[in-house]
Amino acid sequence: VRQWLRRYAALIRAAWLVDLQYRAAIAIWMLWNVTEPAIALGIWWSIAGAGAVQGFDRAEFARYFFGVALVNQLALAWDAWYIDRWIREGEMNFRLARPIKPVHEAVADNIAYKLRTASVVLLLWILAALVWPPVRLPFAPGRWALFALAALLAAAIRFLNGYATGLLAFWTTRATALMELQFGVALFLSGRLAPLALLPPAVARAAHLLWFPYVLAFPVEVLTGAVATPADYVRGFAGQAAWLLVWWAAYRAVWASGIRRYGAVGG
Amino acid sequence: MTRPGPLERFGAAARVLGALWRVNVVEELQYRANFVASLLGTLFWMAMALLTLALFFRHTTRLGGWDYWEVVALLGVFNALTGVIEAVLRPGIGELADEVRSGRLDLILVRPWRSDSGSRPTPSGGWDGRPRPRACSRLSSPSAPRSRSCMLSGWRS
Repeated sequence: VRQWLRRYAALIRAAWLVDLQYRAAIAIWMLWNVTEPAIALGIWWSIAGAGAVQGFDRAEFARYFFGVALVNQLALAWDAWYIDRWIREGEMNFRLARPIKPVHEAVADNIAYKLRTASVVLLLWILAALVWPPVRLPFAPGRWALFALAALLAAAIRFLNGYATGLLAFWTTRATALMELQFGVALFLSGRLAPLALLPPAVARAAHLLWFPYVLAFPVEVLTGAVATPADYVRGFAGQAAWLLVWWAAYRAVWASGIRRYGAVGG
Repeated sequence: MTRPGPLERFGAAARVLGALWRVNVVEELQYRANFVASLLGTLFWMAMALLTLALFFRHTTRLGGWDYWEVVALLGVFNALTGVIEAVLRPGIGELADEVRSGRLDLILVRPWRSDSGSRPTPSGGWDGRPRPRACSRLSSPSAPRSRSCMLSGWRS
């Protein structure tokens, strides 16, 4: 265990320093990730001006979309695009030659990147809450701890989902297209554009059969208090655990058979 | 040798532009599956945009004074203009940064015509006389070991 801690500390430090070189790019990506929920909030704010929408008033929309911005920053998954290029252009080779699997490097990269960016989003939320009462949350350390767990699981599910999909590049040149497809569907099914309660009921029911609500809507609703009963918590965390297992198994299977198939020349 | 007049220069530029355009169209059509996929991708995102509007207008009839069909028309205008920009400007500009980073720009600079506009020959190929770092270049021998900076340069671009 101590050896792994040392390895991860080194990998995270390296990733942190690499990120330092891309400060401007990271700031722009972060701005983009905050812009999308801000636009959605603006639209719902305008719609809710005429009265609450199915029980959601303006302040609730504000808290929900601040939560979306934070959880989305924590659970982003971009690895598929890198893996796709690494496999296509042979940059996978030197990663395979290293003494630990490439996935550990990717996990460390995620931790370093998200520590930096999510803390900025959190800071922005705290500053906003100082001057804008609608986005203040009641003081509830227990709920915040559950939120931290839900957000961690969400990040893990999306990471494994993205990593496994990216590894399909061993077979196809369209692995990133599959990610785009999921991204488009997730706009609705994970609650990025609207709380799931505002979707047509049949769509919302279908969403709960997939992993999408568990990577965004569920952690956000834990934070805002929409998930409140023990039964809701159990259902949510059980769903997260199940999908984490599914995508972990998918990653293991795709990696094991893909790496046997892989052969590259040059680079 | 006399300098060519403006009319001849314009004619030559038009011929080069035409040739470059033909090459690009042929290149694009060569990957037929890719072409179909990007067509489907465009349709998919258009459908997602319409569904987004449908979602908002499920809960209201007007948005900032605009009704559903007015916003759909706005979306259409936006898509049309974006399409023109994507077709004419985007691909080349997007690739330029990658070419500078990877060293492939060298290859373009030694050509007799500027490949971005094709409007005028580059007098000296833009070469500044100093040797360029070649460690990351595709032109370097494939067996050459990559430096650490090369390994990282493709990290997050």
